[in-house]
Amino acid sequence: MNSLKVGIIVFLGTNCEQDTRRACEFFGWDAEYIRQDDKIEKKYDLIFIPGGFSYGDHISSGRIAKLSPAVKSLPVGKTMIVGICNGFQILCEAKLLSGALLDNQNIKFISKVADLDFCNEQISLPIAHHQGNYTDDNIDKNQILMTYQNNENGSDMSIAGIYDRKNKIIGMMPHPERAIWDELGLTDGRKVFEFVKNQI
Amino acid sequence: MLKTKFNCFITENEFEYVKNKLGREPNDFELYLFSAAYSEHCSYKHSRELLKLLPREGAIFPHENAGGIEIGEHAILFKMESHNHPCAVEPFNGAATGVGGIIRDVLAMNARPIALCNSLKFGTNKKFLNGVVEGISVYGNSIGTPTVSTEVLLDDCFSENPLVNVTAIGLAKKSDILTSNTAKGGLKLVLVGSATMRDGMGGAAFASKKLSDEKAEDKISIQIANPFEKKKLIEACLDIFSKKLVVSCQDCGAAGILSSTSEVAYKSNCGVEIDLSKIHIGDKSIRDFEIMLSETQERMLFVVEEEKIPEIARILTKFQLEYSIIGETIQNKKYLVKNGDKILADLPTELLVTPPKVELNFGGTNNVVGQVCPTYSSPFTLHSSLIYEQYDHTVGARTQYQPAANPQFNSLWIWEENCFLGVYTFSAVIQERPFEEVYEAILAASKSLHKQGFEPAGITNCLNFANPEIPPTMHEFKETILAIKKACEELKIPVCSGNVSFYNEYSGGKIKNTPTFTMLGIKYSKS
Repeated sequence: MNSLKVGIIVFLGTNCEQDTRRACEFFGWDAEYIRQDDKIEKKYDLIFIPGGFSYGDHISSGRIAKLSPAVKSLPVGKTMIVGICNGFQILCEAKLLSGALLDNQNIKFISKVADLDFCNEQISLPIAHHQGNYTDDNIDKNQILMTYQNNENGSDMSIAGIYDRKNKIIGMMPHPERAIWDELGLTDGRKVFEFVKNQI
Repeated sequence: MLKTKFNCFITENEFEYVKNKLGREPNDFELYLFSAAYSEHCSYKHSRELLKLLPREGAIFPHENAGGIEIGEHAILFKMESHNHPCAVEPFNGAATGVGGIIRDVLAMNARPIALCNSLKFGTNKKFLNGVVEGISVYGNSIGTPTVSTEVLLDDCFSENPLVNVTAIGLAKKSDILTSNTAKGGLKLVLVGSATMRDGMGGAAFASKKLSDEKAEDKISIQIANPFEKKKLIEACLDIFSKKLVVSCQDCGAAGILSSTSEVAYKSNCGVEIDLSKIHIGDKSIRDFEIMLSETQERMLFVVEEEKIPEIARILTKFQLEYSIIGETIQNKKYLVKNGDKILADLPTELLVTPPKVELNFGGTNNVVGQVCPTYSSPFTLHSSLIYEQYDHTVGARTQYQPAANPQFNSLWIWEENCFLGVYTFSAVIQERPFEEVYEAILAASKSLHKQGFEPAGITNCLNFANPEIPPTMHEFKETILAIKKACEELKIPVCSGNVSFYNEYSGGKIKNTPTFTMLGIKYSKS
């Protein structure tokens, strides 16, 4: 299984769909956009919910996107689903992942390259968010996928990403799709994409 | 100086000039139009002659919304603009709409915005800093355009009159670039985006006088930012333009509908007829002249063939954007405005865009001396979380460097042409010797780019000056222009675009005159 069939959900206000698509193309995956108003009927190997400000973060990040036909028709448990940044926020809002993402502890937007622990490795990925402070009263430690080495935003247990293995859903605040290219000097995002592929 | 009812100014000389040209006195409505069109902000009356000296050779579209440089099949269109006055009254919205405004300039030409830069100046008390940085952050981050190059300087001459200059860099396919000079008679005018409201009323006039102490009365001149609306507008415009559904496009910036329609008409050598009753309005109590001058953000003017309207409407609906067909272009070079059956203005288009010449006072020399402290090498060092960390600099997956080490410089990967675009934002806060200081700043920027392996390719400027009517402002302005000319000619780079902001004064004093720049350079990948 070399080439994957990938769907990328695009809401009004999404802004990382092109970066995600180009990253998929780097791996030779066949990616296409799914509009917010479309029901997901086609068969995909992998669905991304990319970063951005869906509906301008109106009311709260992800609050409106979770009501869209695309999110409501997500093939949960059948297809691998990965939410990045705003995608993670949407998945938490939709209760497809446990926990919630609050304002960063310093109540400011944080954009930097963060050092992370991921699959027993140390990797560096860009983060760029205002609400990435993950909180969950009953964290299932088996779900922790990725943690900050220096807790950047005040997340419980420094959590940067979680993985619900049963339902095949991943959510993460860092942006692996921005760390693919040799030209930009940051390529650890490839490890995340390869991990995702191996989980399918 | 005649003062009309709502913050509108027109000089007696200009009034006489209009009266003579028209052969009658302008009516009240027309007078409002002239007061905005002849404001310094719209008409560049103190700078337009001197700006003609700037070298343009090698630039593409230097007289359009944004000029640029060519890279293979693509063009980089870029422009810098000020939003100083609004930021002094309302830092958050002032800065955010500054970003929104300059984004529109590259968008209007069918270029996708790929990066933002800014040059900010505050007093050492850092008043306005948090609001301005947050405004830029919220807006740029939301629309998904990375902020890659930032200069921050602290000097007490900016304590009440901060300078907020923002550059937008856009990437376009050369063959798909849209301009505002390609309209002709018989086309429809479509106003797209936010419903017109009172916000930003009189903004052009507001930016053309010094800041008053009574800031409450200036509040209505501040536009309100809506980055979500802008993000939808960006995607809808690029979709519509890529399908070649639009003949000509102009963004609604200073003096809103008035300047966008009169510029298209004038540059395209035709006229327009506008019906105010057709415009989608967000505030029913708005008056006729306010509709014309409102600077409600997130609006664009399309000039289109009538049969293309259904397809355009379909795309706009998909992006949940409002629009209205507000009138049409006419062959006759007239500027006609009506509201239903009632004719409000009947003017020659040319008269609106060509104010009478003003006398320039080049006297005096400056003797303001003081210390300017670059933030990253001074006691005023700011933690990067206060500025750079709030800007998403990696969205778009083109940015090569973290801002912390050298915030003014960055490099963008233009993978479409297998090259890198060097970006360097800098300024010259004029102390004593305007010519030398500006000239040296430009050469130093070029050296910086060279050091990083980039060949300088073009520059945009934003000239922040005090009241041009009082010496030595115009003297320093002229010296600045001559210095830019000499430096750019030596470097063989064009001035691709620019903006002038006069009247940077407040009751307690005036700023040190400060030209600001973003210089671009090219480096081809080794492969």
